[in-house]
Amino acid sequence: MHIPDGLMAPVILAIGWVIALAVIAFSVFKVNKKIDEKTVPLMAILAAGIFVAQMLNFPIFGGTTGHLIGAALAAVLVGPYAAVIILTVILVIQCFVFGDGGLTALGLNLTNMAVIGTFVAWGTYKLFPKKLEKVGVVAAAWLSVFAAAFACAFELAASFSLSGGAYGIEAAISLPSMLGYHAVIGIGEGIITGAIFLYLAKVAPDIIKTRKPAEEVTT
Amino acid sequence: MRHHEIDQYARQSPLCNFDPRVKIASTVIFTISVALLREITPLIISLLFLLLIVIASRVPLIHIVKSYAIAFPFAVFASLTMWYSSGPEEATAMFLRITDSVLALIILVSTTPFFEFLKALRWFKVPAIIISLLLFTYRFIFVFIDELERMKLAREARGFNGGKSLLNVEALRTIAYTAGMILVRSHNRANNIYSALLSRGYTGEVRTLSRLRIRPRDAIFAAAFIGMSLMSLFIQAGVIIWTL
Repeated sequence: MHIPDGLMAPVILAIGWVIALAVIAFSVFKVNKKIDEKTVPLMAILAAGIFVAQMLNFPIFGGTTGHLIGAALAAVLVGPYAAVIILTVILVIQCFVFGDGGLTALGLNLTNMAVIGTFVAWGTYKLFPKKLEKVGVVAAAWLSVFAAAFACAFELAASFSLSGGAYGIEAAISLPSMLGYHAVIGIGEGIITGAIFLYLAKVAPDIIKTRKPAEEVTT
Repeated sequence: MRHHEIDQYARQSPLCNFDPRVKIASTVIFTISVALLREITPLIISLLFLLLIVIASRVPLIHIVKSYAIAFPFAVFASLTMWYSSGPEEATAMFLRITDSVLALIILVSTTPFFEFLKALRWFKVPAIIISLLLFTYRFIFVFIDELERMKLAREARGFNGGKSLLNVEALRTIAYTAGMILVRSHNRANNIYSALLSRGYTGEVRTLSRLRIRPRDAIFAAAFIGMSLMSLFIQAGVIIWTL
């Protein structure tokens, strides 16, 4: 879902940058308020962990594979604002070290995966009561991928119609292909995120920072 | 192992000693101008210009091709749908546009060591917390890739084959546990690293010794990229008439 340069209309690229920068600035402000010297190494470790977890491919069918985005995982582990920053760091490294995702398109990639992916995941996760927490994690992961794909397809379609057919991909093609593909990818993301969450709750409950300390003991 | 090649060329190319701020700014301006292009002629001239830079950078062609291959499916898919919905001219322009900007980005990333980036980003007033996070994350990624490789070897030694589909519960469980284990190990390591940092006087600020300096060759680099950008835009606007 990493959008390359040259695909989207310039207006859409600019809007992507505005949204991404505003939300990231607000997240930095929120995280900075309750930061101690230990926060940065810890968030970095998580960012690196998720970055590497993204390299694990899971099978879909007929030889195709997908991989984690990790927005939902980051959100349920450290909360939405820290997760936005973690995903931002991952996307910036992917862009500047691997050339994965474009420079001018970085704003849109940040908006789709770091902002929309994270907040949709967090909102969904919070909707579920504590008893159904595990279902909530799976739903949050699926929905975050689907929402990010929807945003991407919408941007492609908007680029196409705003530029009179010089940029983007027509809605009739972009919507069904992006949504269909990512509805399936999302299942993988859901299962894997859910399983990682269960595993962490069992093996190392103190990693899950969004829970209150009292709850950590009981799991 | 894969990570040996990630930063490899960033230190060998003659372009690697150029000021990273100039390189980033020039590439950004160039990519923005390419994003604005709709006509094929300036896009082809830009492509030729980039190929000249590729030759000058002395980055092995195989590395450029490999990096370009990541974006290739997207470029092809987008161009094919564009062919169907708008026509061959728009499709060609779309393909060239993606190719040009991807190539420009590849040249930038494969001739700039990551730590030079961070210095430049700091100069561009990116918040300190993001810079230190980038620094730490980048450092830890290699440690974890090593760990992942070891776990992969162990998995395969026990007969794991990656599974065939989403219905393979065992495969998915193994993958999830691997990812979980990486997070557990990394979390434990974070505490050790934090203690080590603290004992060396870490206060949350990252300091470096070297200073950034703009030299004449940086000005030439910027002039080439910005000149090319302006020329493409002028050709498109009809100020310069150029027929291939």
